[in-house]
Amino acid sequence: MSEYNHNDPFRDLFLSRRELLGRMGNGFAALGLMGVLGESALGSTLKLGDSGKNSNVLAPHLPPMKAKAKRVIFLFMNGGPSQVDTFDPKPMLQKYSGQPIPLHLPTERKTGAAFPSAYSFKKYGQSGIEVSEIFPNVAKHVDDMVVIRSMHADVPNHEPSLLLMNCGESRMVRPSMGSWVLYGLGTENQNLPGFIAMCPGGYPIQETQNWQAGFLPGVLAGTYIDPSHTDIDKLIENIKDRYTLPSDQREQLNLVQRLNQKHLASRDHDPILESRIQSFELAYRMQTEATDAFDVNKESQATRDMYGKGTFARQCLMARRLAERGVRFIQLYHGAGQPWDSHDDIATAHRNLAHESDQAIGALLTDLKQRGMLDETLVIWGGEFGRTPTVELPTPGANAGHANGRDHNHYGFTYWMAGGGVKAGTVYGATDDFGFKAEQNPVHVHDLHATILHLLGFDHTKFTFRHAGRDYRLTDLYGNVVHDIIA
Amino acid sequence: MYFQLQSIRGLGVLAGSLAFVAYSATAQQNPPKAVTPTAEQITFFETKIRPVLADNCLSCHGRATQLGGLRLDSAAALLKGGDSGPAILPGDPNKSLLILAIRQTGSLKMPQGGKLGPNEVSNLEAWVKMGAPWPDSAKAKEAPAKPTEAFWSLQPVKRPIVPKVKLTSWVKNPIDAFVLAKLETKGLSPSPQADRRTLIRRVTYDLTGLPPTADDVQAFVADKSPNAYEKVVDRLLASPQYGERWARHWMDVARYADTKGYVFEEDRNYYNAYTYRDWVIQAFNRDLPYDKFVTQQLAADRLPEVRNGDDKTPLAALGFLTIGRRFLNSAPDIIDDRIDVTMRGLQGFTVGCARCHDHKFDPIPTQDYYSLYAVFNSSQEVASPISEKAVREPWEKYNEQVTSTDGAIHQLVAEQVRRLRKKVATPDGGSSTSEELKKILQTFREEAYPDAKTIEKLTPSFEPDERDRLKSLEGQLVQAKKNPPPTPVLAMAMQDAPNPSDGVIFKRGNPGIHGDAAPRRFLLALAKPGAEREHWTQDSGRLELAQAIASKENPLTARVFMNRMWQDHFGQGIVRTPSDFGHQGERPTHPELLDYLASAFMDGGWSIKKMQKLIVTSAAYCESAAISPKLAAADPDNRLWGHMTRRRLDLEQMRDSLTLAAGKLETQSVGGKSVDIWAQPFSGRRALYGYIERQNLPGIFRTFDFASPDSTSARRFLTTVPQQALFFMNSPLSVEDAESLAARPDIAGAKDDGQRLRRLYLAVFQRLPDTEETAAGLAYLKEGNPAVGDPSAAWKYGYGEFQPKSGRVAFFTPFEDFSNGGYHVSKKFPDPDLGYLTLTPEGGHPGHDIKHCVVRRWVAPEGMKIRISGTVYHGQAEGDGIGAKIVSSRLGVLGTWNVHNDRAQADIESVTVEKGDTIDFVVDPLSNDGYDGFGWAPTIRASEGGRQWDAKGDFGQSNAKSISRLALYVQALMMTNEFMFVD
Repeated sequence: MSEYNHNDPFRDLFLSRRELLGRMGNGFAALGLMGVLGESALGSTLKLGDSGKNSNVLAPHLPPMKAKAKRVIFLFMNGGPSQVDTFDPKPMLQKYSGQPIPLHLPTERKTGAAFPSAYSFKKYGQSGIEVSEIFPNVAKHVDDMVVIRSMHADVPNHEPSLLLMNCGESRMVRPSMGSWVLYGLGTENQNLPGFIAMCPGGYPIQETQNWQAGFLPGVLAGTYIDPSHTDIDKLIENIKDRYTLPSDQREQLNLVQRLNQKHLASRDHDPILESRIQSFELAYRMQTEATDAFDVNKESQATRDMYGKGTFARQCLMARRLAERGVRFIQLYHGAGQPWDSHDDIATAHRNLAHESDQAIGALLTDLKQRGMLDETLVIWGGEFGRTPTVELPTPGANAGHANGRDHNHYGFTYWMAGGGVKAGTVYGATDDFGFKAEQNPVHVHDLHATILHLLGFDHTKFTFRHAGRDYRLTDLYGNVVHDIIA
Repeated sequence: MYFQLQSIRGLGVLAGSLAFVAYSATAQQNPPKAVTPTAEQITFFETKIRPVLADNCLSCHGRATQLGGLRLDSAAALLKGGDSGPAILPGDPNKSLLILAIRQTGSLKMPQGGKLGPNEVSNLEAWVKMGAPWPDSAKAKEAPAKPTEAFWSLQPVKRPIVPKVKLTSWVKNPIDAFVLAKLETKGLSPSPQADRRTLIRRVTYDLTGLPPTADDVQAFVADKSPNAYEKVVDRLLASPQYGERWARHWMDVARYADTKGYVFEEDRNYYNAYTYRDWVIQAFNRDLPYDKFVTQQLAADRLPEVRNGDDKTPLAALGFLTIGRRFLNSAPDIIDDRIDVTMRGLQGFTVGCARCHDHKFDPIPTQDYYSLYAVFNSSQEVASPISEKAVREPWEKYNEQVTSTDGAIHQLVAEQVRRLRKKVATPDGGSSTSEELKKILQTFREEAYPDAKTIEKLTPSFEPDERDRLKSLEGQLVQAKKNPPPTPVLAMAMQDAPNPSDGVIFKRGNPGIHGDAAPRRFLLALAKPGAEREHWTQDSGRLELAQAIASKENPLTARVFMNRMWQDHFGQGIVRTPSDFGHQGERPTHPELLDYLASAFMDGGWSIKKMQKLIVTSAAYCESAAISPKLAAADPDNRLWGHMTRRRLDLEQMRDSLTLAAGKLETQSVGGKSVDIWAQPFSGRRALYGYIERQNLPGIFRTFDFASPDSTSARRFLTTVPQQALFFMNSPLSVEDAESLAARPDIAGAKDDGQRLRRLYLAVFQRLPDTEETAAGLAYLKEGNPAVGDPSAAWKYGYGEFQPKSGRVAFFTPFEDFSNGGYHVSKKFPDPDLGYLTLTPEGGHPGHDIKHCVVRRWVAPEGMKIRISGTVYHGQAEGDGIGAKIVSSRLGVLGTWNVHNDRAQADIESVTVEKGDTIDFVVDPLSNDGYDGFGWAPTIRASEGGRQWDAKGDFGQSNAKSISRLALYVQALMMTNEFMFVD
């Protein structure tokens, strides 16, 4: 059993102050070291056995295994991008164009004949990995990526598939991957939320459940940010003092702390009181730091130009700024609802969607690499599933009578990952000749999760939390680490 | 003894033995035989076979886990096999699934993620070929261990003997004897009793969720009567706020929310969830005995007194079952949630694991899960009227009338349509009328009911008598609907389904794969050994389930609830995993004390208030939160209850305390619909009435460790994070409450700051300030009111003359009109005299000449160094463009940019300003003001402290508010630890 296997999460989360003092070694004197908050005397630690270590659920912890990846940027293409139009070229579709394919898989809606991609593919980089023309900038980075062409999920519906991809379970309430990672690693910057979920203009389907903490402490839930706002106030709740000047607020806090110190002295310097005193100091600093982190105008013109215009570019640039400042898990969605859900007119729709994101994603990878951050940052790209290689047949109300789109496809789709210790410049697994079903080395969502956790230094079978009498894990009872894609 | 191991097969874990063979019924009837091994075979098995199985297979197919329903740790288990059938056919490796799987030649490949070596494979083949001999010794090892004692929580509750203690003077009631006895065996003494001020604050928060008033405190401190404390407790238990506080504790258990969670586009609201909350509040306030409290929540609809009585309010109690998450309306998941809340909430037992497999740690077989499943599956939701008879009955009568008339119309029309269809189908027709009729009939499907318009078209073809009868029925309906009686309050109740039935096991939780039958009955673990369990064949079985739980015979019910009550008074339970009394949970620190409480609870007629009083009047509860060094060293975790635990206010206590101090808390009205208490204008209702949107719970709930409404919650996490501090520092609610208290007439109108301070301390802390606190307060209040912090307050919008000679702007005139998202000279636009002068978030338009420049003015709220950036943009080829300038009132022109159909970067790297200085963003029309619309939305950043002003973001009519120094002071008091913690 690993030390990460909590036998009693509550015992850790509800440390009594004396217990804490005991663990601190020499009582109050040590408290100064405890410093960083997010915290409480009640904050959890994953290594409570080691006396003297801090006890803060958000404080940075080392994972049990050595790992390259320290943080994650998850570019979530909600709606489900089509693999055969992006990273999984299928010339056979051209051959069968307009004809039925010899592969019958039930789909959510009726689909018909083979529907070749409207885009051309080209080999890129040393690795010669083929990428669609709609991602010319992303394609330049294939030598830093592993492209998994054999992903598969369980059902062809958005709701369960989003939950499966984000929380490892398609129906019941479970913590999201970001919450697990935050729970396991804490975060490196106590002045910022450790897990940030961005989605411009609103929520994806299933809304905040995609970044829920489930049965983990609520502070581990993703902090939602709408990057279409530029006003910091709208990004983080109560971050701005609208009433007084900083100097006045500081003076007010000085008064509070003076009263608090007096109160503390008469109560044996109880650490739970001390930790709240420090949380105010932290909050005061956070006002400046958070404002700074989200202000992409602080970037040079050259950098801003590299990412390009638009909200997607801004959120990618924000993601880099946040990653740089030690935010542990950053997830960004393409947009509210399900933008990649191209049931009709896919040739235009996917081109537009790729156009909105290609330059920015390319820039993000370039930027991370230039700053020497890519090695420690795991960048993940993908949606909740892929799309059928066959054309979706028109049904009333579904695609306005057009037969030029693709239906949902959970049998086979593509994910790519870059940085963070993945085996760069490789393609893993394959779908059948038509790109319908993962055939060679299939990777289930649970396997992807197991692998991501592995890259972050966790054995997914031992990284558990006890809830309702059972030790839960992100991968539940499933998942195998795909060692072949790890460098 | 309730639970005996030997009476239960398949629960080997409990015995603490190694693997324990689970025979299925079929395996028992006709078990295939394996050969009896020879000595060589035993050696072969122990050296070549058993280690291979143990190393490669048992982690998934062993005692703990049986993926695919398969285990490979006994001959019998191999023969029985898993979901795909027997694992081996002794003697024939080629027909043995196990061998096929390890050869990895087919679709089944084992072990997962690896492959056995060729020798290992051939050994296993050889072993199967020789008949799969499995040594007896191995079998012997797997036999269940000797009978063990029942697990502690499943033993019957017995009233323990109250222990003898040395320090008898400390003991106020039997609780103390149990606590003290344990302390004394460790050579420790309890902490001294808390002082009266501390005590009344503690007990008032605990029983009502609110602080005492200053008068309450004073009265208690001054009360010299021997029962002074008891009087306080009685008063609190009798107050309506008591029920509100304890309802909130129970709502954590009941996963209360006002919405269904994610259910596609359908309306998520549970508009009537509040009826459940109201019922819980009243149940606590009326001291409804706990056995009734439980029974009503599970089966109020089945109780004779509810069915036959006038008072239907107990039906609202069924919300306990119905207010859970809806999981996209998936029935198995909804029922799972109901089983979970019932079993974890009321029994402290996790049954959910048994949805897919026998519980690994506790004696809960899968069948038990589906027995409960059948009970809930035989029940259905119903909106039941619970208002008084006078409201209910007319509505019911009305409903009945409408329904029956509706039904009669429906029947009549359907019959006539049938007749007409028959008629047009007979070949006699061909007439134009029948052709027309045919067309009408084709507009809807045969089994469908036509819409009103179609009926109208069809009526002339009806039989004349029926036509008349239809007319009269329709008339009746219209008449009835004319005066509908008021709708009564509807509860989210349940009733038995028309055809209650037993269930069936869903293998591995998959509703598509059925296993053995699951009769409606209670848990095996709680059955009397040897006795046949009662099979609930009448109705759904909910009432029987309720009775089995709300029973003195049930070892869990009273223990679990008393433990919750203890936790909510002491910060920790006697069992520190309050919803898990199973093997995975913690053991009680004081088992006898828990049993004493449980038995006293039941003997006292399940009175909650009686027990509450017993607990809060114990010496243990009244201990100080200060800790002696000896205690701290010996019991750092306070498992001996040698002192009280200091606690932070929870979300509701915090919100209520702020509102109360602000003088806005509505304490008079108890119960009612949910309100959004976190949105402006802020409600004065108590926080427990706050609307809870389960799907997207607002951040404030998570920030302050609210109990997740996703499933039953055992206890709240307690964290201290900076987001909590930000709430106190910057939230509109915190500011508004501070201002309200500052504006209270006795505070605002105090004769001097000294008196003001004393009154504030009484309002916030229920005590007077000491000299040090007074001095600090007086010094703080002496300073003047602070400047407005909102960045929008720094901007002014107007026009003026730029004077080149001085390099300054003169005659600045603010715009008078703000409309359509912009500032203008007057209501008339363009202004007859001054033309297109305007400012918008992004830019504007200058006036006719340099004497009428448009000016966006920033006034420095304090001295600092700033950086200015922005882009000036003019986008028309016509005209001559514009002249843009940045002008400092102190330094003059900082930069000039003439722009014509172009853009220019207008940045000033660094400039120092003093408080009150202005920075003007001036645009003049150059030689003419045609085509002079421009874009320019500069930003100003302080070089330190991160403050910034954004012309675009800050634009608009500033609603920035100033806050008075007094309010800032009040807010400071509300931020303190003294306010936020209970000793």
